[in-house]
Amino acid sequence: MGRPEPDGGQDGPPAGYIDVDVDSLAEAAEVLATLAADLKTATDQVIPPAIDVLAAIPQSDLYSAYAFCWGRWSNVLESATLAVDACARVARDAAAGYRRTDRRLGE
Amino acid sequence: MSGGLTSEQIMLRIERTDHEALRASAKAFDTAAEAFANVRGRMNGVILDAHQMWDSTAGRSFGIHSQEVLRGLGDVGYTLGFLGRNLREHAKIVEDAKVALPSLRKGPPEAPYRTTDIALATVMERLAEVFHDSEIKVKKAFFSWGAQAPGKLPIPGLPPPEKQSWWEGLLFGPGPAPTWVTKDGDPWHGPGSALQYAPGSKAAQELGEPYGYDEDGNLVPAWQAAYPDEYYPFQESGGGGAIFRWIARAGRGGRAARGVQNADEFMEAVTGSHGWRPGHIERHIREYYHLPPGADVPPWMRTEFTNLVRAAGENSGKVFRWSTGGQPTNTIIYRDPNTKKWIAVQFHQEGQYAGEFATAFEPTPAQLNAMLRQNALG
Repeated sequence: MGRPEPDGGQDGPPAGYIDVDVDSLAEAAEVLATLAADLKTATDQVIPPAIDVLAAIPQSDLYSAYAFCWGRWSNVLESATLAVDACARVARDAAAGYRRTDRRLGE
Repeated sequence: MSGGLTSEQIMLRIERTDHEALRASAKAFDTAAEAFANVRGRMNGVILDAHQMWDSTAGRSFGIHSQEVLRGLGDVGYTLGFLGRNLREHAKIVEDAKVALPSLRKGPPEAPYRTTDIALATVMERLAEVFHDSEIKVKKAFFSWGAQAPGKLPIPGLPPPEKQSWWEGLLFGPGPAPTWVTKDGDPWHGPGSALQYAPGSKAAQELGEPYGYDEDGNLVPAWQAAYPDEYYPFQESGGGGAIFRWIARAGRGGRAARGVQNADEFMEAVTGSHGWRPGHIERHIREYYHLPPGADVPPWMRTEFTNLVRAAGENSGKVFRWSTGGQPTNTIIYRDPNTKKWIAVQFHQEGQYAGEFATAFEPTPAQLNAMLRQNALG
């Protein structure tokens, strides 16, 4: 939660200071990066059997429906993995940025 | 009969459906669904914690974005489970149907399920109905849920118009160009048509979405359609793959320049094309069989490779849009039932060699997946 903003002249952080637990945020970034890696593994593992379905069904409307459904959702699958990875990067970069700011404020 | 398909055709479909492979894929989908659910749960915890420890505008933006990612993960997890469930249910129907097949396979080798026995025909008809009902149920589920995924719905490409011989052109004028139809069954002159209207214009809106026909002869949106008009299945009933319509015959400029009728003509066109010239095709054969560059290609490899291309053509039902070296192609895929290796056969879509064989190679699952994605998104 944010601290009450100081109105100047007293002890405490300067106005506009935001409350961030930098170490925990860095840890969260690490966890998110691990989760993104887990998703990448799961995605890489499911693609060959997903493609195998095209060999298990003779070419037909069902074949086309499967190709359509998997084609569209596998796009979301890949995007979701990239999005989790992006979350990890954002959190990591933010933690690094806050750490730099804190260091400068402490100088 | 079930719709536009005969019981005989459906018996062959049952025979060719690999229920064990469907189950194996269903299991893989279930495993992936579990992995996604697990990641989603853990990510949810991390995001809740991050909300506490990162109190700022950036932190709140992160929270909002993360919630969207969580929703996406939820949808993907559901999809993986949904695919697994549907494939498993269909596999069960196939497995049950296959039990009855040996007692029905009484016809000659070229038509193993042809019969004049009324009792046998009745059993086949019932079996065909159960199987095809399952196909329709799963097909509808896949199309319906597939359409829910983000992204525009695609409008599949159409084969080029048949080029007539000089005397046909003289007598009858240019041949009709294949078109999708409107909801009322009239020609649709939207994107890709010679008579297209500006997107979003009043005329385009009145035109509506393109429609075509499914394998049972029902009018359906083009992205679900097997054919642009009702006559395609009749024209293809003599055998042959869907790619045949897209092929330029050997000796361009001679007879009708597009469309082959059977596998022999298909192979004549393929092996007579620029892409099949020795220096080029041998490189692909070497790659397919993992031979070192420059190694001699044994005759059996050339024969087997040629037979695979032929099998891909004969069995083609769906023509995918893909590219090779930046050039758009019409592509068919086939998996060798013996070696389980995929082969992708590509034909030039435009330019000097339009309609001709371009290349054939072994695609990776990731490449095939990318091709499916490209074709499923508008």
